[in-house]
Amino acid sequence: MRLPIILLFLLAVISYSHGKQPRGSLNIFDVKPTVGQPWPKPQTIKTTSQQYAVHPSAFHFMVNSTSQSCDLLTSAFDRYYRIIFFPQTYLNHILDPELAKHEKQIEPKISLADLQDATLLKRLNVHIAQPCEQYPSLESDESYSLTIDSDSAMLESVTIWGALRGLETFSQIIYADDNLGFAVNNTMINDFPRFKHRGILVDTSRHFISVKTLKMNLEAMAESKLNVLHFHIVDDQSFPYESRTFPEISLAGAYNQAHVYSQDDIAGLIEFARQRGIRVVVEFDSPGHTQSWGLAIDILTHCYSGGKPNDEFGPMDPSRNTTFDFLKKLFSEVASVFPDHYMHLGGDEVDFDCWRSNPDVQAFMLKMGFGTDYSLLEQYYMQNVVDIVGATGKGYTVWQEIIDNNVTVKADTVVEVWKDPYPQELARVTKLGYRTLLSTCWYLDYISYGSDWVKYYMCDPHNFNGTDEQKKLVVGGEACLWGEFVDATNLISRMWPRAFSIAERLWSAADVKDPAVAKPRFEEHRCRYVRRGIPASPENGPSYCDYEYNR
Amino acid sequence: MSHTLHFFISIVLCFVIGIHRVQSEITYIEARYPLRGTPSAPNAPWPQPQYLNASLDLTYIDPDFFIVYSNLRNCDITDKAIERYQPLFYPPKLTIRSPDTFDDSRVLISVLIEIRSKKCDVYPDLHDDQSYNITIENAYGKITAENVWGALNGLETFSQLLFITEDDYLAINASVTIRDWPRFPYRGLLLDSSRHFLPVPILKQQIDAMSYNKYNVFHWHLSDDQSWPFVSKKFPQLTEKGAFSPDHVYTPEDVQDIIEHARLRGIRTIPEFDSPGHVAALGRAFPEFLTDCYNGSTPNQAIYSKHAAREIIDVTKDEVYKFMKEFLQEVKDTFKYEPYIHLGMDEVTPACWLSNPNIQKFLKDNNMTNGTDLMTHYSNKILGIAKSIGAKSMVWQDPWDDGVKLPLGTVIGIWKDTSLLPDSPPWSYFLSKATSEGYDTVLSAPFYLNMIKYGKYETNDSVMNLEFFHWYNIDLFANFTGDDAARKRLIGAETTLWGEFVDGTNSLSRLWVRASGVAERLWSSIDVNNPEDAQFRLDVHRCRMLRRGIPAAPILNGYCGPYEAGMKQSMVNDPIFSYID
Repeated sequence: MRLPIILLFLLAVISYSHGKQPRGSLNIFDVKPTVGQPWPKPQTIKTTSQQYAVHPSAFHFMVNSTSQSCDLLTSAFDRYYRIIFFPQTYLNHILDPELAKHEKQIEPKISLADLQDATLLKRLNVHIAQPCEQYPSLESDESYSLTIDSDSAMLESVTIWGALRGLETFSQIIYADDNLGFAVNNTMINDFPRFKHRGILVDTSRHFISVKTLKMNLEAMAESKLNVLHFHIVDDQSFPYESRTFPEISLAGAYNQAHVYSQDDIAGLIEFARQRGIRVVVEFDSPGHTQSWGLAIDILTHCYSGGKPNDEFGPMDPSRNTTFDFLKKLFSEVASVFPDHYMHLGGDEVDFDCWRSNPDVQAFMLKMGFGTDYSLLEQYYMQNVVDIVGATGKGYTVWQEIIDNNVTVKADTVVEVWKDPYPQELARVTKLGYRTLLSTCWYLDYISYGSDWVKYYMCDPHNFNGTDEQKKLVVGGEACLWGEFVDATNLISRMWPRAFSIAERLWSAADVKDPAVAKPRFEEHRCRYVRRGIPASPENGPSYCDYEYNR
Repeated sequence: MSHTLHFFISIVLCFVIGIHRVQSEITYIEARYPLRGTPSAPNAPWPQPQYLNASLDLTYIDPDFFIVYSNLRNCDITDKAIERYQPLFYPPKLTIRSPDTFDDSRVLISVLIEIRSKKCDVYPDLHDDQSYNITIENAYGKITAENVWGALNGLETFSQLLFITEDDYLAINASVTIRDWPRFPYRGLLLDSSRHFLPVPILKQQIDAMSYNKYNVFHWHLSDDQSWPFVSKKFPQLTEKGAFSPDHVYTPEDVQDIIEHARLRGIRTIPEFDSPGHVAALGRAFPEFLTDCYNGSTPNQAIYSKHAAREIIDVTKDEVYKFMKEFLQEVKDTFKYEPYIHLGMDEVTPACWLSNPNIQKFLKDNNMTNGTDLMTHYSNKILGIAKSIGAKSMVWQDPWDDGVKLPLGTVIGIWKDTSLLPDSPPWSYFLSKATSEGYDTVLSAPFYLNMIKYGKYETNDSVMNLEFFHWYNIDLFANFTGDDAARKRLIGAETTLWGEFVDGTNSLSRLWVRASGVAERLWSSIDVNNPEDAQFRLDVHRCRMLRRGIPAAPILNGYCGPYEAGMKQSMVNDPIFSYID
């Protein structure tokens, strides 16, 4: 649709100044936030100076008459209406309806009557080509195009997932304007992700993270177009997953019963993620990192010293069939609880000392003809585990050790590289033909003083010597916030905005890589989070946001 | 106190765990490196009292009948404290059962706060007696102190001794004797409201957290290059031009609100208005106060890395001193109880001054030669103004170590160290020198908590949280060369959270529980210095702060209780503790 000529003419006559200029007067700042620019940067974006006013009482989202319909779209419309027009109360509305009831509704500063002479954007028509999918997957098409050049804007996508990404972009290019209240410029966007797997690892074993905080984090992920929650749900320290088959594990292995995810909690998280086009890939790491599992069930290796068991336990005991019987039952449950095709099987950092000390394991090694090569035992264990999980119909993601250790895995296995030097590791794993994820350079738990987002921004998953085929095998990466020093008090402010770097690296074009250019947009996005109720911390030195976080 | 005594304390408190298992826990980073140190009692106070003796048996509290009262009538400090401690005794979202099944002898009936001076002081002073005693015996408790400030310290410790048992009773050791006093009288926390604005509710929570750690000075860094958030009634242009925005200001009412909030908790508020450097925000309101820097004969031209185009106050201008006199008078009137004003004076490089022909002429006319002479001139004038309006002065060490003769009575803040400035001598050198020259001194150099690093530290046989250990292990008198009289002039220290990378989103979780480590160093006996034991008590304290709505971040793997951040029973963001309208 084109603007009627007369309206164009009017626009030329009534020239609204761009009411909210980037700051310039405080010349001591080297960072001036942009206004109405999205993060991550779209593949192509064209804007003109022509402005449209957007007003809460005169704007609607609409499903285009020829579009496929989708329940996810209706709920997304509700969310984005609130995000765009009432950002300060949005998050409580989603996460804490009780608190939200007490919040004052913020009245729009500009009334519709004040906008008589302005050009209004009245609706966003959304058109989805393919039928609504229930869950996103590694193969999902997330592309979309967004056209704002009349009072009726158009968002087109192949799938619902692309539409969700487009709605997020739409919400970001609308900005607060002194004269118009909310405004958006004439804009054409064609957008798609560079990598399909854009993940965040959250560790809920070393510290329990409340469901509410996990949901806030999922919301934050959606606002940067990240699409995989790598849910590192259990580890040595605690087992907060409440199993239907083995409830005794979390009874003994959780920190305590306030620190458990019930099946309802899990289902709620998966649904919250689905609403935002985010996959939940759960990790049950074994055979190491399993101390908490063994508190209820005798599956760990008994360590020996001086010829006697010493009350200490090592990795899973591969010498006993009962171990694998247990895993069959557990993984069959997990496969049904988590709908994503992929399950993360861990497999990292296996310590051989305890295996070596145990006479039953020693005998098993002899029987199997492994000699004294315990990596063969590790290989045997993982081979059993991948076969068990494979039999459930699931695919799996594994830490790189599994491949380093020559385990035979299914062709669709995704291998996560976490070791340095990552260019060599990526080259090696992709040469073997596996789809690969990078996390080595994105360990956000390793904090340091200053603007470390730049370091994360500079890391690129294609930075290795390999053929085009190898490069294509890199499906994305993950920002990992391991939990040693992180719980719900600081998870969000430590993750955000630092994970913005990974979000843009994995979504935007390869040549969007200059941190100095990105910085003003980064600043706007940081303040956007704060305004939407997410405590993203300051990363670029002295600065301010129009709305500051005060709770 | 002796080692034997501390040994005794830990034995006694640990025994309590046997009776009622501690409800929080820290745990290893890697299973093969178990944590070292002695686990803590669930009610171990932080910072550790100088002398503590507690029985193994418990007595219980009935929230409906327990009372705390004081021998002072109509004293706002004690009355409001008693009221304020109710939700600290009984965390609002946690269940506490009445001990109606116990016989009366196992119920604590009351605590009397007895203030020996019988005076309701208005504002704390450096030289106040901050000590207190606690006795709990035969169902009655007593906190005695010379003055209300000691009593507040006692009430805080008492509140920490209370704990909720696994079966939801509120308990305390049946017999307790505590005698306690601080090792250093000045225990400060610097917050920077210029580099990022810290909203009033956040400042109030910071002050609350200070009181839970017996900090007693809030050093409020209120102006700097980046912004000037302090609204002046006399000079409204300061915030109109110098604040980030009209929303990023502290109104006179906000400032009184903060001063009062701190005062009621026994905390002084010392404002800092930094000059002659760090004044870019001031210069936006009064451009004429700044020095025109010259590149050769061209004015207002920067030579980057040496000087900006215009910077630092032009010390030759009379209108500067006229302004400073009026403004500092307003500051003095605003912070009406506080004798000190911090005048900054740090990081002044004279390159710009010396490039300016008017200043060159001024030097010649006054038989001066260099930047130190100019700084001497400026500091004499400003310290004189402060004196003339009845204020005492604190300054950063810079003018003093540049050779400016500061009058005795000026309190010097030592912030320089080799770790911050590679060419600088270590802080111990400055500390020894300043105190030996007769200056009262406050040390902040080793306590820059804004300088974060990853906490994990591996040795051959352990994986420890070095970050906490690092702050905790600072010995304030390390390499000190002064005599006993000089030692006494180290009046205390300041934990600093400079504001480059903190604002309302993260200042609380970044500072706490790390700043608690410094708090114990400043309060407790010198031999309370085993970080492996302290980590367990600190974890108990972190969970306590969570129960009081402070989002204190963890020092190690582990958990607290059903009240952690984000949980249904979380006190973080509870209106009682968060000061949100």
